[in-house]
Amino acid sequence: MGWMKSFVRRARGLWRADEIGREIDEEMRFHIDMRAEENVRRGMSPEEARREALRRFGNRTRVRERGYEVRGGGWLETVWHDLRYGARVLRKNPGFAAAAVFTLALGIGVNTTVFTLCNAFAWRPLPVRDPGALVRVERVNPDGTRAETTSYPDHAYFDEHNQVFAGMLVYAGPAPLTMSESPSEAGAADAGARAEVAQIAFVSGNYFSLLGGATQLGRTFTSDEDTTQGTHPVAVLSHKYWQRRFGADTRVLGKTFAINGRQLNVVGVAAADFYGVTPLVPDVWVPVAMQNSVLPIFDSRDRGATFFRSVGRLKPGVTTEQAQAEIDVLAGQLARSFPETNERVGAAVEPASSFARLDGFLRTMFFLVLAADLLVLLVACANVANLLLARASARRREIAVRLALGATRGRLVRQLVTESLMLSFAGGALGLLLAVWTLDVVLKVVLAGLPPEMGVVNTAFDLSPDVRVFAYTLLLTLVAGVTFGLAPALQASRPDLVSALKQADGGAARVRRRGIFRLGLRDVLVGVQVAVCLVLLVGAGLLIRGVRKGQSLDAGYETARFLVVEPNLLSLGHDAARTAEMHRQLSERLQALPGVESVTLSTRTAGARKTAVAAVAEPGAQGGGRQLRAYYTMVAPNYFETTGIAVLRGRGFTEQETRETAPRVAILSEATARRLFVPGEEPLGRRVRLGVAPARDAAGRQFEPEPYSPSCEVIGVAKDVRSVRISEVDDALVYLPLRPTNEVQVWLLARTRGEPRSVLGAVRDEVERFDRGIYPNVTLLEETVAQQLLPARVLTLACSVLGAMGLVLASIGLYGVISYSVAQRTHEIGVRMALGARRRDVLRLVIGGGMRVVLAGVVAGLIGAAALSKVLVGFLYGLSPLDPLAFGGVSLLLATVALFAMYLPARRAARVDPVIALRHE
Amino acid sequence: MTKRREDKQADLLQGTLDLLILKALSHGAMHGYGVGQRIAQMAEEMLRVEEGSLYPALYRLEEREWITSEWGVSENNRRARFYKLTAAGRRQLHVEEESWRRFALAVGKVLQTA
Repeated sequence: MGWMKSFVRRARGLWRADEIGREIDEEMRFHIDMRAEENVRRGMSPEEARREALRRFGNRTRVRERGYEVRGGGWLETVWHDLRYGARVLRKNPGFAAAAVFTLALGIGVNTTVFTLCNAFAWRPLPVRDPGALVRVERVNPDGTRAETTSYPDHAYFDEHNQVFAGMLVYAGPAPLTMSESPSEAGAADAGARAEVAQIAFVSGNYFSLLGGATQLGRTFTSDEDTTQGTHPVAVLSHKYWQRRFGADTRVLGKTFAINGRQLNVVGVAAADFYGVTPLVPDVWVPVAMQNSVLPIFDSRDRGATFFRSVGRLKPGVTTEQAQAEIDVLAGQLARSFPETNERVGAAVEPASSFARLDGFLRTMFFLVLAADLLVLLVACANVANLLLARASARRREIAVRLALGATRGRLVRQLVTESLMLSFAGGALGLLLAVWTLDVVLKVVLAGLPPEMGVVNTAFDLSPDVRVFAYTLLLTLVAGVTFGLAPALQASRPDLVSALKQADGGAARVRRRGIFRLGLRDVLVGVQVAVCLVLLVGAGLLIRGVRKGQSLDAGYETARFLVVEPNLLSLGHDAARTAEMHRQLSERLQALPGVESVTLSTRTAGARKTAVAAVAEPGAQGGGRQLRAYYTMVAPNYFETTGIAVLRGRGFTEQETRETAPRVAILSEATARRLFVPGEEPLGRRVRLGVAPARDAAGRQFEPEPYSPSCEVIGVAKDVRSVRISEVDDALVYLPLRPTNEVQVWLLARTRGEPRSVLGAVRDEVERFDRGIYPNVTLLEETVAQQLLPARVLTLACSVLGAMGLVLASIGLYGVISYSVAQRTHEIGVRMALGARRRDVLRLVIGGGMRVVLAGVVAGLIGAAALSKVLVGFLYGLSPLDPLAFGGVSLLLATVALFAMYLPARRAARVDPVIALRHE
Repeated sequence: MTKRREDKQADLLQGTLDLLILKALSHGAMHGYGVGQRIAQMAEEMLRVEEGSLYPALYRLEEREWITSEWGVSENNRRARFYKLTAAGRRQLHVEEESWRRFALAVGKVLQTA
């Protein structure tokens, strides 16, 4: 008989309890009557017949009971009685119930919050057709690391030659780009109409059809719209963007607008429930073949431009392993055909059924926060267990009476655990609501806090609780309920009846544990709370100090008074010489602004790629031919002077050297020079070889993914800086003069006279006045650098909030335990005071006992924190994970708070009036 | 404690009683009193069961879905609960009859050789 069936039958039995009793009675009556009639027929007198029938039938009460055992509510009835009894008990102690439920709701709530976030991110199926069959095809770098992305030509090759996929799609972005009314319309209407930032994604023609995306209006892309470069300027709007920007106007079809100055026609609006496979919902989808003309920062035809994400839909019956085998073969073919870009490059097939995978950095973050959450729940459970223990003492007489009346210990434990489960379920339900509410608020705050250059960001995350979230919360609730309920229940139901029944005040009979060996369960719980709390707070303390350290790290160049201007001049599509001239003019105009001290140009290094650098072997010189991969940046001659990066040896670039015809020169960072040449060897005057020869596209345009120079002279060595990542000194960085042929995005660094924020508006206006076709990003360099600290900051915030919660819960727990013990010992304290103990002695007695437990907890916590703090190393920016200030400070803080939590009840004890205390008996 | 001992005795008898009830019902639907009468006939009063203990056994069999019950009218026109064998009950009867027969045979052999 299945569990459900049994439940239904028992429920019916419970419901019909009275009726079943009546039926059994009627059946027995019938039986006895029949037997009596039979007896009369055999010649007995009616009275005798009846007596004989009753005798033969046996014990009717037992038949009724055993019949009811089978037909009635059975186990369900027991549960039902326990629940009713529990509800009555809790109703009688609303303060206790509320405290327990809220404590648990906090503990379960924080867990559910983090779990829900992670669920939406990494486990919830994508909101597209049959997401289970989708896989990502990702580039595997020669060093074995995953790129998550691949190049467009590689994707195209996989798409064309595979037998395992029903289809493959590719996309890049979404990225925040400038979106404006098309120039003609804008000019006619309002010349001052502001462009705005929109999230643009570049997708293959089959993106919508392969994902099962429907449209609200018009059509999606056709597959030929992504075959030829730049010939199909079409766009599909997201439903939200259509509503926000175009007021849900159905005449939007056929309208043109410009992205980065490039005109596009609206051909469709996606259905409201279509988000695609990107966690950020794009405002506009554009065919991938338009990317080169809309966003020419990289060339989709370049096999080295690994900025695309490739997704395949497995044919029915094909497994991920089969797909991987096939892709391995194709990646091998690519590596042989294109050794320059693909040598030793592989491809990995990964499930793509959710928005993201939980691996690498994300996984570390997630497990750290989840572990901290669980610790908070542990503290909460310890608190509730303590409350229950205290209450169990108060209920000793009730429990003793029930034991004396014949209740088994198991029955009593079940009753007590039922009560704790009722508490935990109430806490779990409240915690779930708390989590839903928190996420709602947090998401709003986070989205509102995004920098304006991101535009209006919509996420595709569904943060409503689903089966997984419910299951997780239910599991936590059950485990929590049993964890904090079982130990007190076992202790409370210990059958030492006699002492409990004899004593009016059950607690006083027990000798208070004085020796080291009689540590009560309650002391252990408080110790655990203190230890857990210490671990959380040490984590928070380390992270806070780490972020501080990260902020104060010397980047090696000035960041405080700088604005970063990204004018996006490439989007205008001018030739290299004209673009370079515009950069020069723009920097002159910015320089003329009153708030600006000087302006320099460079290519961005944060997030940059590396290029090959080799020392050219020369006859007679040692160590020639050494090679390494170095970051590179192309800079204007005044770069070093403006940013404050010292050229330690040799000299900076001259204006002369930025000309195309000038001899090639380079400046190396200290680390580069050290690694490229033998120690003691003079780097100045040596020659280095850079990069690979540039390719030319079909139009004969030279496209330079990397700087290339067969040989250039080292003219200087610059001080090491932290330009790529603030957490580490660049391991190798090469400076090259910025030349007009370089088709690269350039940023202007404007050094301001005062607070850069005050000049930001003026600079932006000046850039916009310079050319109405461009839409610049203007940011503070300091903020750009600080953004690198974001993950550590998030973790710090989470750890601080959780640590604070743990501290509050643990103090409440400590306060409760000491209060309880004081209440229990009122009599004893009265006796002591009557015998001459002073208040100070009483304070010492009460606090001393508690402090032992706290100190034991602190020691255990310190050991635990020392063992665990290594996992934070990546977030500490060089701070030692055993930082004495964090460990010491937190221990001191915790001890102080604990002392205060104990002082309040201890003071109460010291004020005990011996006369009243003794009469208390 | 006395309850425990009674329970043990009941456990020993229960299997036999179940078999006898199923057998009694194999000839058609019958109320509890009738089942008792029929068992008494079949067992020729060898089994001195408290008549009342028949009822929990009937409920147990019903729980196992070997028999079903419904209210009906008895031969003397009174309301009575009638029990009937289900298909599963009939199968169970065959199984138990078979195992009893084998058991009896085995015991007989042991007694002969001993």
